[in-house]
Amino acid sequence: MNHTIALIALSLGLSACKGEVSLNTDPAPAATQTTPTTPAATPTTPINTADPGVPNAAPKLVLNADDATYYLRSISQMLVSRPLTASENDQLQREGGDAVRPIIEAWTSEPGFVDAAKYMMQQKLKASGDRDGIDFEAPGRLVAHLVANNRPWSEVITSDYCIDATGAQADCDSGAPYRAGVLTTRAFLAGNASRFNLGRASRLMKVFACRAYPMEDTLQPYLPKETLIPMFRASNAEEQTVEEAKGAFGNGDECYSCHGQFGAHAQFFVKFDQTGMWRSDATGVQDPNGELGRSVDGLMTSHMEDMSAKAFEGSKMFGKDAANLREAAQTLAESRAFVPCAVRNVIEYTFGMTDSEGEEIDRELLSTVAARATMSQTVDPTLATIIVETFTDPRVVDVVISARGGLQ
Amino acid sequence: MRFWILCLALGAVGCGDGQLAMLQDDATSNFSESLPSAQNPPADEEPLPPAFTLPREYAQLLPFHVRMKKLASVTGADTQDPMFDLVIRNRYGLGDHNFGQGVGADLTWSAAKMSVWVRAMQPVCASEAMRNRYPSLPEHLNELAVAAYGREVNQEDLELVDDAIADVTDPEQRYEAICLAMLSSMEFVGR
Repeated sequence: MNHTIALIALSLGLSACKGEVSLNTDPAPAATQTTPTTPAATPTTPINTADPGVPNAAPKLVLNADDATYYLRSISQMLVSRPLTASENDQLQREGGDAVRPIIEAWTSEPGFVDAAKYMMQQKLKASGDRDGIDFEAPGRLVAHLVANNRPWSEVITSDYCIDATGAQADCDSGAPYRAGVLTTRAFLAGNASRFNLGRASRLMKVFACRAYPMEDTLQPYLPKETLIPMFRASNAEEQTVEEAKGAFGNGDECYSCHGQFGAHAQFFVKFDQTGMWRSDATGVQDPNGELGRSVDGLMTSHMEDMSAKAFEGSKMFGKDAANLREAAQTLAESRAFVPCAVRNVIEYTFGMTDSEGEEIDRELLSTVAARATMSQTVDPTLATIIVETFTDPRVVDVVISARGGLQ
Repeated sequence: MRFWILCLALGAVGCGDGQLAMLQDDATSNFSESLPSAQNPPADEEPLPPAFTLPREYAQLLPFHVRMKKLASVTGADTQDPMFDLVIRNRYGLGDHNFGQGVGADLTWSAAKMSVWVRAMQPVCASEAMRNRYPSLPEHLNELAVAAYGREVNQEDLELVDDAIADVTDPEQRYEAICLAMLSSMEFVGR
C-alpha cells in the first residue's frame, strides 16, 4: 500500500511538476486597503467600450499550423468540453491561423459550449445544487438558455423570465413584482444574503462589473454622507459617532469610502429576505434586538437614514436613478463595465485564473475586445460573440503561444 | 505497478506545459516572427506588455462535467451508464460542485483524487463498451489517443508504452494498464 501511495505521489509530482497545488477561486478583493478619506479615488483606469480609436475589424491571426493547433488545443476543453476533432486538426494543418476563427465560431453552436457557459457562471455566482428547497440550479439554467438561443448576454441580468426545471420559461422564484434574470433567483439572493446586503451588492459588482468596493467614483458616484445612517458617514476615527462601529472593523475607520457606494447598490436588495423572497413589508430598519445589519424577520438593514428611503428599493446605479433591481440591472448592462467584465470572466474561466490573477489582465485588452464585440452587433452581444472576439484577439493568442515557448 | 509506471510516464508528457500540456513536438513557435505582437511589434511601435499571465504554477483538473463528457466520448456510452457509477458516486471527492450544499469545485489534482479516479476507471476499462471500441491495447492505442487526447499517438507515446509493458505477458493486464494510464493521465483529466 505504501509503495502504491509513493508511486502515486511520484506520478503526481511529475504530472503536476509543482506537486500538489491549490486553486483559490475567490480571494478577498484587493482594493479595499488604502482608501483616501475623501471619496475621490479612481483606483482603476476607466473602461470605455465606446473608444473611437478602437478598430472594429476582426484582427487577422498569422499563425503556422502547429501554433494554431496548439492554441486551440489549449482552450477547446474549457470552451467546448472536448479535445479537437480529427477534422479540426486537418483544417488547422491546412489553414493555420485562418482556421482559428471559424473553428471557434463553430464551437459556439455545440452543446458543450452551452455547458461551459453554464459552468462558468455557476462558479462565478456560487450557485448550483439545492438547499432548503431553494433551486440553486436556476441561474445556470437561465445562462444555458440564453447561450443556446443566442440571446444577448445582457439578459443574464435583465431577462424578464427564468427557466424552470423542465426547461420552460417561467417566472423567477423570488416572488418580486419584476424580473432581473439571475439576480431575481432565490439562488443568487439567498446564496449571497448577508448583513446590510453587502454580499449581494458585492457579488453583483464582482461578477457583472468586475469591481470591488471602493470603485472609481466616475463609475459609481458616492451617496451624500447625510443620506446614510451615521455609522457609515465616517471617513476616520474622529468622525465615527456610533459606539458599535468604533471598533474599526471591516475597512477600519474609513466606513464611508466603501459604504458611500455600497449603500447605493445594497438598497436594491432591501426587499429581499435571507431566503431570497421579495417582501413588500420590508422596512430596512435595524432590528433593535438583532445583530448589526439585520432588520426584522430575516430582512437586512438599509444604509439609508431617512425612514421612507430605508424601505424604498430604488436607488442609484452608476449615478442613474433606478426604481428597483430590474432598472439597476439594465443600467449595469448598458454600462462601460459590463462587456469588458464578461471578457475578463471568460479569460479567467478558460485559463483557470484566480480573481487576483484576473485583476492583472490588461484593461486595454478588455476594452478593445469588448468594443469589437459590441460594435459588430446591432443588439447587445451574445456570449458567443464575446468569446469569439476574445479568443481571436492577437494579444490573447500571443500570451498562450509565448507561454508555450517559455515552457519548452 | 505497471500502471503507475506508465501513468507516471504519460503524466510526465504534460510536465512543464501546465494547462497547455497537449502537444509534444519540439518545434519552436514562429508566432512571434510572423505576427506583430507584444514580443514582436512593428518597428515604429512600442512593444506592448503581455496582456496577462497564465497561472503556470497550477496543474488543474478539468471541470468534472468535462471529464465525464470525455469519458462518454471515449467509450461511446451515455454518462448514466453503470460503468460510471463509481465516478458519479465519488463526484464531489473528484472535484464536482454543489454550492447549495456548500461544496465548491475543487480542481486540484492530488494523490487522494488520483487514487479515487483510478479506482473509478477500472470498471470503465473493463467495460464491454471499451472492448468494442478498442479491442486490444496497445494495438488500438492510436484510436484511443485520438478519442482521449484529440491527437494521434506519437513515437514518444509508443516508446513509453512499450517500455512499461515490456515484461507483461498477460493481454488482460496489458490492456488494463494502458487503459488506466491513458484515462488517468494529466493530458486526459487536466489542462
